[in-house]
Amino acid sequence: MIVTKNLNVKLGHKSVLHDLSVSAKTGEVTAVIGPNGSGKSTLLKAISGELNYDGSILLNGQEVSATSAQVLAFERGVLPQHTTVSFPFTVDEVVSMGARSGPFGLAREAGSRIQDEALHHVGLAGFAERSYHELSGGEQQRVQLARVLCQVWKPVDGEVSRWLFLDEPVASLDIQHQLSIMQLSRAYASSGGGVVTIMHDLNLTFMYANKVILLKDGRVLASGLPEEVITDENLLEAFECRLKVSQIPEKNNHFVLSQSVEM
Amino acid sequence: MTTASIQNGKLPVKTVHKRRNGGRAGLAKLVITMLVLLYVLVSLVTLGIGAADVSITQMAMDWLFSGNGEAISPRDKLILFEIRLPRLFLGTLIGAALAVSGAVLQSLFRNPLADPGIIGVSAGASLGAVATIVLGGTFLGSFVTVLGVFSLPVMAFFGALMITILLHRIATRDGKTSIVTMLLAGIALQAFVMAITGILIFMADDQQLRDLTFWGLGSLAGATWSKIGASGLIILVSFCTLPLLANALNALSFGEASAFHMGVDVQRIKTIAVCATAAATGAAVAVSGGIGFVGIVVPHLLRLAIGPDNRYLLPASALLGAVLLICADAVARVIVAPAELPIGIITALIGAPFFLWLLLKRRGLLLS
Repeated sequence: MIVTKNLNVKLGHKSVLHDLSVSAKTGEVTAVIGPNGSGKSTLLKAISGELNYDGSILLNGQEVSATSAQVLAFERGVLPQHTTVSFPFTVDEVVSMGARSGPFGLAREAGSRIQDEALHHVGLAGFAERSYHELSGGEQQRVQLARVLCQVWKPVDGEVSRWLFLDEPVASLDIQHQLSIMQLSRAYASSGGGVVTIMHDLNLTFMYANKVILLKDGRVLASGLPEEVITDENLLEAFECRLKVSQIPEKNNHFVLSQSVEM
Repeated sequence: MTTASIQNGKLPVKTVHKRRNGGRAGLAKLVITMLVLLYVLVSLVTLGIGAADVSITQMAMDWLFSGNGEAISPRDKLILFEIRLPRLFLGTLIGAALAVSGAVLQSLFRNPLADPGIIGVSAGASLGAVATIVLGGTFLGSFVTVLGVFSLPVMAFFGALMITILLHRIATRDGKTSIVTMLLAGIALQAFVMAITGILIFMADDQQLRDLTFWGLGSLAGATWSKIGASGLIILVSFCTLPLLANALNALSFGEASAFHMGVDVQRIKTIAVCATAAATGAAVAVSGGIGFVGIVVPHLLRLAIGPDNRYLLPASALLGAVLLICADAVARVIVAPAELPIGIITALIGAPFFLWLLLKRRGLLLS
């Protein structure tokens, strides 16, 4: 469980999050949506423990600002929007850093098996020997995801539920990998872990999120089930676009087409 | 397309891979082993090289067959134990210190062009050392008395530390270190520090000038056991932090945020790395003056060979740095024998063209 209470974050002199009180449960994929600059990434950085904040953020019942980097590394993995790697590591070396991180880094044997499996999951089996810098942007992003997966490999370890924090994990991916990565995060949640992910694609959000938090100007505009949050009215208020949410009747699947916009 | 079919397509039956991590890690271990052997070989060969003709093999044979050291002439003994051996030790310590400092700074600044000599850290150390020599008789007097043989390396350490911290403060913003800012700030700081050093030299009396010249040529010629003791202790202590740093420095190459996500206490690691490199560089500069380019050439060559993993890069850098400096020192004392060329000239002759080649190869990187 992640609970924020009256969370205020300032970047420089600018106040980015105002009195934010949201929560995310293990066993669920929680999607954070909202327009550019609404504070999504700042929220993710705050719950990751990167930023100073006022108010309270409880991760598995512990105040994040009072938790050490090592313990945090055990409880949650973070996939940033973009990662630059300054030296020519191989894919395998990048992923193994995830496996070794945290206070109880995976033992060598288990580590190498899990690295293989993680690369499989992100569709990069056989890429281990390749140089990270020679990969495309989408492939690099998936290597980073494999690294993060290795860090918090077991969704539940002992008594502790672990978390994946993903900042636009599918933004640079093709549709096949968008679907498989979202499927992967859903599977992680189903096995008892928690997933908090920033999303721009409303249709993928409908398909895979159990809960949606809609942010606007650093405040919560709406939060709840996807179909409760992603509505015509909320989309108009958040994105200032007249979009129409539709439904495939027999499947109970909602969708939003960009084409439905009324200018 | 349903998600179920995607999952079937994407998460297929696990295939067993041959373990590949052996690839570069295995190579790295092999290279380190080779470097150890090379170091031993180079040490033995250079012990026999110099202005006086002392044959190491002959001495070893004499010693073996006579069962004691008496068969060795006192002259050879003196040359070996009081001149060549201290020099070998000093070369090892300084070469290792400079190469490892370069490797650590490069990881810390996330930039393969960082080198203690280029970004002004060595100049800071020089300032500390010159200040000790020139002001040792005046208001630094009591300090020098208290620290004795340690005063030069300790002051050089503070000089190097000051520059490294300033540089990091100036070049890093929001956890990102700007390459251009760092190099430019390094040049500016270096010019400033050298100007102050110049003022101190201007103030120096004749005896101090002699000391300064002797020290500043960049040479291992003044090697004595007491100098090795003081600087060696500082260098070895700073090396003790390396096992702690290696993994964290690897993580830092993904940026400070990602390193933190992986459980690295970034601020603490940065403090340790800055202090350790400043101490090692300071101690090296204090005994040998400015010896450039070892810190950039050695880690770069090794990264090409075994990759950037600091768990292997750091020990390999120490070994290759030592080998390189011992060889350069051997050249320095043979090429114009019985006189000696300052070793800084040799390393610059090799290092400067190499650095230019590196710049040409990485032209694109500098602009970004």
